[in-house]
Amino acid sequence: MLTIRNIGKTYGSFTALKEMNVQFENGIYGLLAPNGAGKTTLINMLVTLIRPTSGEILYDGKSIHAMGERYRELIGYLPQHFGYYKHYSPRKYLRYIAALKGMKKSGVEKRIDEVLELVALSDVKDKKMRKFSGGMIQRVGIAQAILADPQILILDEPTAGLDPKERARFRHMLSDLARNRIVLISTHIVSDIESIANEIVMIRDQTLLYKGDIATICQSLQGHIFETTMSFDEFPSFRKDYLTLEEKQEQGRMIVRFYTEQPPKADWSSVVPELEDVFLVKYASESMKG
Amino acid sequence: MENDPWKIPYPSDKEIEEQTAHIVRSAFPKRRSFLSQVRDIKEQMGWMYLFPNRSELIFTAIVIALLIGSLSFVVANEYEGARILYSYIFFTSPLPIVLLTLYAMYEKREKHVMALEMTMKITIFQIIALRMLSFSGVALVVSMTSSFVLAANFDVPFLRVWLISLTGLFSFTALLLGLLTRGDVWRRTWGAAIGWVVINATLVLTHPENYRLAVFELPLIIYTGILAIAIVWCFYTFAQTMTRKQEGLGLC
Repeated sequence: MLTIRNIGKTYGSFTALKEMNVQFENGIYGLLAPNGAGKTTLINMLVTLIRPTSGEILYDGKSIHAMGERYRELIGYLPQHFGYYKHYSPRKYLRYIAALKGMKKSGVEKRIDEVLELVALSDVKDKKMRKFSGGMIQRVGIAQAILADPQILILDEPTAGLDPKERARFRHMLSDLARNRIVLISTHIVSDIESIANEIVMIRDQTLLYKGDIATICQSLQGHIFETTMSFDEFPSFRKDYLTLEEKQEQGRMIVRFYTEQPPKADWSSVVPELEDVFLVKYASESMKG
Repeated sequence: MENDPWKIPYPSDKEIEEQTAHIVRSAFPKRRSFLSQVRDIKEQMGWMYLFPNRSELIFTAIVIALLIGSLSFVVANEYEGARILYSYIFFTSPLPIVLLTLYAMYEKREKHVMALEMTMKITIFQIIALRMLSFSGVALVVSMTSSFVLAANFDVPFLRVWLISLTGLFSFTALLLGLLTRGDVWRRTWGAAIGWVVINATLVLTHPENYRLAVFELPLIIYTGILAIAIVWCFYTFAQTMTRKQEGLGLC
């Protein structure tokens, strides 16, 4: 179990994260937050790149900083900007990572073949990565993260650059992996985690906003999400008064999904809230700031 | 009777012994010697992965070639014969190691591999220390060979040239490793490189005679003593670097 206990991080007078308390057990967790909310700071702390200014992070009751290399052996990490050596092939690069991870040499080759198969790169395992597309590089990144069969898998924007087919394959793979480990996925793309995450962690104003399963989180907006139809001319003034979440055109009219706390009107129909709605509503003020 | 209230299940002597041994093993894990740890990491990494960038090897070869080329130029022009030769050797001996370290750090930053490599079991400090150790081994051979060639061709005593070269190399390596254990590797490597050049240049410019005397006239026994201290210091900082924790250092 990974426990984040009252952690905070400040840089001089700037607060990057404050009073954060979360516990992770085996399963998939989606970390949702807009830029600047403290998501990357949290991830950097979980992978030991930075230390919290206050509080502590514990793995099975032990401080991860005191555990040192024993903790680093347990983690698999895909950074947001995955760097690599262009003149290496995926197989050679994974051998290098295996050496850095301290993996036993006897099983490395077999494991490399397995993970390359999982990310569908077996055909190009000996080709130089210099010529790889963004999606292929990202798959090499995912392969290195799972190479040592980590107990804690932390993936920062893992689906960036993947096409829809690759995203689907990635989701299946994670569902399999999450049975006996903690998987934490940081993303902006709600659909990537909506179908696979056991729980969602949302950060706002540098601290925890929500942690819970998708149904519970969506429940918080029950009775406040509606759809209505209007003409194109009416839409601009409607948008000024309500927080619109989705608009689509159909048969010359606008179908608008929106959030309000007002009592429903006759031409509004209440709809079941989705995770995307929660994201847009809870971070509406951030997008206004942006 | 099966449910005898006075019969308490008690482990056998063998079980007690095994459990005791297990508890002792867990409480006092066997400490591996420092040298065996170094050997294990070296075996784990292998030469190829200590220098993952092919360009680093090319870069090193270019630096060494440039140094040898400029040495030939200095000697060929016979500015001040052996005097300038000694100063030059002392000054330039550690330059390949610091330039290689700087270049390696630059490559890691430029290729964005640092964020990932800082989360691995083998620390960036262990890699730097092992690279320096490997490079020092190579430098020993190069220094001995070049000292021999210089002694054979330019009427300078082999031992003095060799000792000067090794003193420069080990002093600087120890200084650099000592600085790196404080973290902030990129900035401190630059600081050490600039410091070495500036201090030596300042001494040459402001106290040229004293500098030359120190390099040229110092008795060999004192040089040997300085070299011994530098080697001990170097091994001490090497051990410090190998065991340095890297948590919380960001991207170094």
